[in-house]
Amino acid sequence: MEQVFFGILSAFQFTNLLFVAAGVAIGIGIGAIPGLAPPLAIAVAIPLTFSVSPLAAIGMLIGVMKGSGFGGAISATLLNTPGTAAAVATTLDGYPLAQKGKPRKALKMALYSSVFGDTCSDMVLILVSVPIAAVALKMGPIEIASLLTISISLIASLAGESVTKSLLAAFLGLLLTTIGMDPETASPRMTFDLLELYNGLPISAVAIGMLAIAEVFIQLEKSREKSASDVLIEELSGVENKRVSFKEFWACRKTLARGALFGTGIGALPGLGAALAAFMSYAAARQASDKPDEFGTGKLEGIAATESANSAVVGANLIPLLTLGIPGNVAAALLIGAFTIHGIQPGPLLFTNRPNLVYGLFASMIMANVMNLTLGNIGLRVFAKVVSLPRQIIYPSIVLLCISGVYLAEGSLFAVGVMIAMGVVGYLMRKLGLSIVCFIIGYVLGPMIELTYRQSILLLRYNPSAIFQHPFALLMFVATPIVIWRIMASNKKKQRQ
Amino acid sequence: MQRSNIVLGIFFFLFGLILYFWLIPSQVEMGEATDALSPRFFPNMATIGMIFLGPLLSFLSWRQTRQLSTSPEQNGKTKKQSNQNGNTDPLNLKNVAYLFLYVGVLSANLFIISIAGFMIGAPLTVISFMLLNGGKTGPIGMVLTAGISTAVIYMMAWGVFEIPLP
Repeated sequence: MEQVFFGILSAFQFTNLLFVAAGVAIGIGIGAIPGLAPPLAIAVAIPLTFSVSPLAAIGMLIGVMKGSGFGGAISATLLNTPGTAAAVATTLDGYPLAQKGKPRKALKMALYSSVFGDTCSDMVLILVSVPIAAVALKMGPIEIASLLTISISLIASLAGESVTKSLLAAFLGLLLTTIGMDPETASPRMTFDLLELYNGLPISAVAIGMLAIAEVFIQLEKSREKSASDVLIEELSGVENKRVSFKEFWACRKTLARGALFGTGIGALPGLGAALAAFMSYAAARQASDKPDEFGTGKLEGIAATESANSAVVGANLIPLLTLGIPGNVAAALLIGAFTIHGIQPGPLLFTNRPNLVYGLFASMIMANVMNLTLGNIGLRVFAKVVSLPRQIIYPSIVLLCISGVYLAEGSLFAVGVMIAMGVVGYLMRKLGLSIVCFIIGYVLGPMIELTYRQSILLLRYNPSAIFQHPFALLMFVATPIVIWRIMASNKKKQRQ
Repeated sequence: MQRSNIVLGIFFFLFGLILYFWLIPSQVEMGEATDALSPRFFPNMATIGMIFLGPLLSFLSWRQTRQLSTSPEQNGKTKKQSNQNGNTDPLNLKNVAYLFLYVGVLSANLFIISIAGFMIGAPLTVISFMLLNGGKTGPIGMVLTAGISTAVIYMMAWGVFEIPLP
């Protein structure tokens, strides 16, 4: 109990609060730039956390996650260009409301809904993570290996346009993790006698290359085809057009609660993503409404439905991450990387070994929500300006930030070279429709999968039939191909329809 | 997309074969510990996955291409769906040529940074990417953006992280 209080108290230290606030501001700023998704914001922010305490570092990155959720809604509402995939559904009602001359009202509704959804899922995380971790502690390497196998298969089946391509991307990610020293015998693997590769490919270089540099290449390509159009919105005068009254917010309570429920449920399952939660919540809100035809014309309820759902995914995503060490999406996978950089292994043992950190993190999450609300409200005008910055300034600056970020993280220009190479791989993968999500998750989970498989094989004494003594693991292994087959069949059915 | 998937499947199959029969045996040394699992075990597992899934992707895509060619209505629906998903331009020779240009510019700038240092190489990187972006901000805008972004990053690296840049 003492550790819990100590953890919560340390979260309220000035430095920690400052880093959480900085994270939220960075998240909103980057999330507002079209095309720059939360994982990219986290990838860029990771090098900024090297010199601070683990709590401040992870608190800052969670702040980035939360801030970028709302940031995505800014460009979705003002430019009809979602900053993130999760904000696509927000354009449906956010942009029409802004066009009606009420951009600030739309943004405020998005902000309040986002904070509401976030807070709800954080509460669920705080309440259920300890019992889940207690169960998870009873699992051995064989059970964890089976759980990792079904999780990565589930993510691959749901994330991309094709299950086969997603699995191929995941295998590619897994293969790249084997570069470096073998964990058991310390033999060099695919290092080509380069000393820099003995520790494997640096995760910051891989993540920033695959996400940011590939995105810059894509944006450069788009700038060749057409110039980015700025949409001018004339704002109506009058307080009622600029703010959301309590009455209006209260009228959306059911939609907000439903959205938070969808987001929490979907976020807790690895691989489903915030975009799915937002669209499901929007569809449910429309179905439940007395005036479904008003949806899509700038209805506040439409914004509430999507933003509460996509933001609720953030907190819920941390349930599998903190309790089982399994990331639910790319952002969570990058968080695992950040945990590792700070010498922390996410998973059930975290609750017994570092309870002060876990509870400090919970307190930081709640504080991040308060900061999101405060900074979002204060800086609404400033953050909206980020959207109107010319691409000619944004993307070259991002390139420079990536180069210096990777150099600061790894201290070598070789890592920057790896980042450029991974940028090319990321670009080609996007062009060919291979899921980057699956690749990154495969890359991040690779070492853990290898370790648990090695341990499992040794524990089973090279005897596959010994798996029958582990019913949970057996169930998971049997369920994996069935799940893949069912999802493939369902995709095929949808294509036919 | 279906045709490129067929090629992609073949590529993964061949890539997997090269890895399994040549690269892994030549680049993964066998450990001395006899009771440990071979260091080649996990790379081989990932490679076998590719060797198996590559032809499967090609076969499924080939089958879908055949179905689409026999049903023009379905073909139109698929194209429409692809557009709605917001897919980027397909990979063509022009895009690959530009990709080489971007990578070349980035690598050249990295080389300049390694030779002349960050303070000279970084502004050149920003200016070259602003030019690649169309250079619509004008020479003063370019110099200002390059100077300010370089100075901010340099000051952050030294002042906040106390890490020297090249």
